[in-house]
Amino acid sequence: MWWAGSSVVDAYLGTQAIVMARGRTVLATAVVAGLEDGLARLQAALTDCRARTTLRLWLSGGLCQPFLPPLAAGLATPAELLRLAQAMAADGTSLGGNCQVWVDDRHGTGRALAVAVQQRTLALIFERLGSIARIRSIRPWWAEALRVRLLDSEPTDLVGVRDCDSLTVLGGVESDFSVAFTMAPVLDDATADAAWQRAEFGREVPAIAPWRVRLVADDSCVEGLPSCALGVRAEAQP
Amino acid sequence: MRPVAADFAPQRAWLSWAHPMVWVAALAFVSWAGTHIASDSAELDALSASSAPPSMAQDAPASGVIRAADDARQLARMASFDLNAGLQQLESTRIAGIRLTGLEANAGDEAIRIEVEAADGRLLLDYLEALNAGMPEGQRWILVRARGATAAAPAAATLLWPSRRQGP
Repeated sequence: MWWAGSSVVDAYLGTQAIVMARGRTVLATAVVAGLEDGLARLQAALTDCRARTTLRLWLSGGLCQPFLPPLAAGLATPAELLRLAQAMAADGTSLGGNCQVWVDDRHGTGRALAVAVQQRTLALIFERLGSIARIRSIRPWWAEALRVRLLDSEPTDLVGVRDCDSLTVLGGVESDFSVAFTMAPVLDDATADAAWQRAEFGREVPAIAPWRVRLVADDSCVEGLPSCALGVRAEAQP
Repeated sequence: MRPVAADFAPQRAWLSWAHPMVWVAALAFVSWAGTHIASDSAELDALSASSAPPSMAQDAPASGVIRAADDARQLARMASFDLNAGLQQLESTRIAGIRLTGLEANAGDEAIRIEVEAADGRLLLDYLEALNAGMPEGQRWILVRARGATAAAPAAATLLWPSRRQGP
């Protein structure tokens, strides 16, 4: 049946670029000037789809950022940890404003990771795209890049995820996180390299060779990705 | 590191079973209301015939004035962006068990930084939420640093005002 899956569209939304793909077929790519322009381009591309589509939305690091809430003893429940992370989101990220926060609680077995996105960003997404597509998920693209990198048998302790507007740094041994932050705006390779060097100099990242992961929007991406044409290209950094 | 399953889309799985339940509940309510409204309206007719009708007209302008006053107060608060607003928040927010151990007000940067302590970290979060209750975006306090309580030291936090950083 042609509709069993083919109506699912993956869309990457950043402040500098958008990509839309169905399976391995790229439907639209565009360089954009900010969030609202990106949403307008996605809106137009989705309107061109014949049927009402199911949308998996992947947000850039400029829109959706990780951070590590402090290790605060005495916070007993996940709700309290979430409160703490919500209170810290404005300072722990470069997003500013009121943020919606998601927390990956480890129940005391490791460091919790928090992810924030501006409430204004979410409201705009639902306003512009909610009426023309069923929004199945809204996830950070760097999380997908990390997931793909972790599938590899070679151990990964430090990853730099570069996309259209940011450089997200994730690090940690085994299943723990010791580093998680996004530098934004990072708009080109030279800025990304400089930002990484600054982070190394300031000891924000450990001095080990990272895996550098990039967004690719073509059919040369890694096999087995659910996000298909919104692929991941991983390179070992010497 | 581990996979991160963050998802900001509303979860809609419950709709698959809740949707018919909502319709059943609505139909049940309509049938119940249909049997009761007729008898209630008869009782109300009898009551209104026997006593003077309550004057709702007097309440309407009063609530309108309150709403307008709230709006004006909100606008005035947003327009006057000075240190006093942050200091007033501090003065008007009292929570037992919170100890203010440091205050640094910088008029040049239009910023106030405070250090607070409490026996329990949860109390510090309560305090932060109380400070920010009803405050518009940009005039809220943000948590910069937090430390949980230990056997040797109470829980401590550094709060910064205002939180007006530009987003994407």
